[in-house]
Amino acid sequence: MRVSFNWLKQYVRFEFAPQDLAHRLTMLGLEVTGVQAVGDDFVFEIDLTPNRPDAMSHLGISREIGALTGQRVKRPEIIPVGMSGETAPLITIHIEDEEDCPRYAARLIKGVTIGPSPQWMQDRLLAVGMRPINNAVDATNYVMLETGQPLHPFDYNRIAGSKIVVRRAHPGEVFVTLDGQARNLDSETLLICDNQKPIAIAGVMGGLDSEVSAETKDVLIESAFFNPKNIHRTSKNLALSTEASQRFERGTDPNGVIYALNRAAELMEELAGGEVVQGTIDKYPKRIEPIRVNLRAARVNQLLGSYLSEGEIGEILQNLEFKIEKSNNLVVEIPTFRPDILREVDLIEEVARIYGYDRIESERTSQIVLFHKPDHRERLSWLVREVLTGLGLFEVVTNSLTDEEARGMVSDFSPAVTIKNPQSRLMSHLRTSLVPGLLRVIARNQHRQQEDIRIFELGRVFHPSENSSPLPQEPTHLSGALTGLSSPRSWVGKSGIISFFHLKGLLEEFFFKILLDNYHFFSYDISELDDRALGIKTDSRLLGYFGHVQRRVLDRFDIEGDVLLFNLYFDEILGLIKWDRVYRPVPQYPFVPRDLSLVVAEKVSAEDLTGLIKEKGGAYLRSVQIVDLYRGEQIPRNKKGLTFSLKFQSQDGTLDDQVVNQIIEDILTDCRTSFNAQLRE
Amino acid sequence: MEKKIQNFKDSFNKEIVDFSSWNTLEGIRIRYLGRKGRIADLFKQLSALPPEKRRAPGKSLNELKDYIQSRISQESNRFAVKKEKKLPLDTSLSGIRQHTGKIHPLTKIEDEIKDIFKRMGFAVATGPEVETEYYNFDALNFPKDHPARDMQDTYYISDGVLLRTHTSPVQIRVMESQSPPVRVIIPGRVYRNEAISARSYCLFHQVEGLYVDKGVTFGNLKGTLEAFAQALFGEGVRLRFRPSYFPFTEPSAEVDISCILCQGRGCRVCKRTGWLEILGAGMVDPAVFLAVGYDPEAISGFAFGLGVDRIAMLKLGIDDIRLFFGNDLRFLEQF
Ligand SMILES: [Zn+2]
Repeated sequence: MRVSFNWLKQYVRFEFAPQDLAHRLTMLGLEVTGVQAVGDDFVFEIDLTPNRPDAMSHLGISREIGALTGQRVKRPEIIPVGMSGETAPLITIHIEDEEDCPRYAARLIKGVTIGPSPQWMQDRLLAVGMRPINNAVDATNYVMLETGQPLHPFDYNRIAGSKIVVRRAHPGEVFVTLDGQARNLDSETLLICDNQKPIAIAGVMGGLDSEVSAETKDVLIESAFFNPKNIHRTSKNLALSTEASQRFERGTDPNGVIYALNRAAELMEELAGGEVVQGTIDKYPKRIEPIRVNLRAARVNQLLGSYLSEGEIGEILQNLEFKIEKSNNLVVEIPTFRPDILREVDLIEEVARIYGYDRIESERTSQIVLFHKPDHRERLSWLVREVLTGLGLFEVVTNSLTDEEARGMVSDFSPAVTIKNPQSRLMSHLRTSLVPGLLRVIARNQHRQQEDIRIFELGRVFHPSENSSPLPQEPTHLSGALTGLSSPRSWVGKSGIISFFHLKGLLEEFFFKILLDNYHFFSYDISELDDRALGIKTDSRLLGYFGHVQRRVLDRFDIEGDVLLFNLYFDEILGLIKWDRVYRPVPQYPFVPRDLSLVVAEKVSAEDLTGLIKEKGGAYLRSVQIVDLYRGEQIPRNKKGLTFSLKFQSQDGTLDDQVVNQIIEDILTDCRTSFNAQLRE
Repeated sequence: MEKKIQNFKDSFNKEIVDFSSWNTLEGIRIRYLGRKGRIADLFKQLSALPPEKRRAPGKSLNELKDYIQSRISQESNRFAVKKEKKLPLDTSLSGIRQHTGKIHPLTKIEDEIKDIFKRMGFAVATGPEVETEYYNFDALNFPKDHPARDMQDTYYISDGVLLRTHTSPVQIRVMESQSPPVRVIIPGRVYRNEAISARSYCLFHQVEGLYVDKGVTFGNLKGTLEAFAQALFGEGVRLRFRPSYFPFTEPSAEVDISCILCQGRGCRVCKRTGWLEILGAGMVDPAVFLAVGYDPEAISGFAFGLGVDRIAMLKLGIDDIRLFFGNDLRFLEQF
């Protein structure tokens, strides 16, 4: 909203320079976002919060300045107008919907001469951003900017039957507004009609037909109070926001209707000539009375941490035109132009606002809360980020809104949660997997000449609820994607493209660091990965999967080269981690090393062999490591050579060679029978 | 003869001790073991003796030859090791590095913010990003059919279900699940149905705080946020509380900090005002307490909310919010 500095001076005395006033208004909660010099005037752009309809006028802003400086605003006196004739026989008003139109008043001015407004009026309107139309319309707009009460002038002679009816629209009714647009109305839209047809959408915009024009001789001015909710609904439905609707939807003053009406009649007579007809038609079946609110000074100080006396509190409120009905344990009458004040706490805010937030002292101590449950989710989130960045991955943060195509490309999961009113098709679904986002980041970076790209994201995905809950499930996933060299290029020697086993090793390191053991890998089939893929699980739970992304998927994302991917279920992992560890004695005695080179058929898995060795190795076998894989001339085709490095150790003493030899013999025997393994010489 | 052999051995032992270079060692070798060297010479002398007198000195001579050979090879090995150590090392070659990653700047700033509040005794609470209208608006005292609901452009999933526009619904969920005192911060993603630009994205990260107890005052709110801002932006930062409106707090405040770029003198970033708006805050509205079954006469509380993305932009000097979500490695590696 725009406010003129000079205009304000008409209603309240102040010595503030424009910039100073701007600062003071801001500190009152009327945020001034700009001050602009216009001629000899200054125009303030004020960003009003939606709870302050009372401040949407020059008188309203003046009232705030008055409260700040300890004075009351001077409203313009109205010289009695309307000495001739009698309005009542010339117009009848009928309110069908009293709930949405509690008050409707009108005055008639006969014999006006429509023409441009005088220069001073045009300047004022232009300064605050309103286009001058003609003297009749300008008079009503001026009074709206002055008092905050929107008014509407009709060409009296175009009101069929000299009758105003306030009613709800019929379903499917169409109305052409001032701006020439045909509007489809629903049955909750409130209309101002004449005997035959609608002439305005109440509180929002008038119609083309009954507009004041150069030919208009007699003007009927409407001044009304409409239900804010109804106006808000209509304005939103029609996507039509006007100066009038912005005021009505926030709540105008039902008891300010007549003052504004008389003020406009007077001004119109002054600008456009003619004569105001005596008498006001005022349909106000149920008077809206000011409410009373109790206010305890002790409560004020308790909530604010202030030290205000009842007297100081009362004075602040009186300067805001609140009436103090009882000064001991205050009872406050709330003027009807403040629909936002309903409770004690609302008054406390008014006191704080005028007293000044900056004058309330900061309190830097408070009681302490002694107990919080350990927060493992926070702890693991932090750990995961530390470990993965330590393993050479960058954390990324991607959009949770995605498109159906990207989603479908990688995931054969459940259907997605969709957005009813998306900005665009590209952001119409909630992600069901982090993978498409990661692949996009890889593509984008590749297009910017990056080759080694190693990224992860820890974030939520969304799956429609499987039970009756209206809300979807929001599991947290931990996903990563890697492409490029396994280690950075350097002068030492060549580094290869990152392989399946680099990622497998990286995940093993990861689990090692976050204290997760007792997991195992198993062959896994998922649409986004090719056959070089593994799942990860414990006895009962699937923890995730990893492997090579399918070429066709990479092509869709426009990615070059191989990409390795992992997708882990964070919540499952969180549930498995044993945070409390118990110490295991460190071995005292030396270990006995043995290497074992076996030749087996290609189809025998290293994991199975290792498993058997561990089983047969018994309690003394401390570790098994595969240190060589051989295929070539020295062994038959379709066979491979695997060298296992074993370490044996006892907690009770140095192991005897004979004991170890016997264990090795046992292992060999079993490997021969189970896997047809040969000892490689 | 025997005497000569012993003399050669003594002189050899002297020479082999203090040779200084490869050349001298090679020189010793040639002098003793060469084709015309001293050992060869002695063998020649030996062959001149009658056969019966050759045996004893012959044995000694062979022993000397073996001895000299083994000593020289011993020394030359030692020397070779020394030589290898002295290979010139170009220490200016770059170090051998591993791949290293970094934490996203938004996470870093969020961690910094969370840490400050954790040290003050706030616990961390979270809640769903897809929310019901009840938790996002109704329970937070947003009037129905009022412009206050339009302050936040909302993505809807279905009737009554939406993408949360703030993390405030978690305040309600936390209070529903426990009785006072409550002291939590609530980090999380929130969504606004706005066109994407340098200044706004369809989602951002919020941290809200809630403190409910007996006798909590607006003065406590001011003190807490001052301490927070000084911890995050430095001791010199000043705060400004100005009245504002949020349906779920009363009184409500916008909180500005003195511009960290121009120290309050006025610059482009603070639009020449010297102030930067970074927080919304206020005393919890009694209507919110009633919605969760707390007695507003018995307790009071404050709540506040800030945008992590905005603070990150200010702290890191970033002028386009989209950089956070683009994840360009050349951007991420800077933090
Ligand atoms: Zn600045």
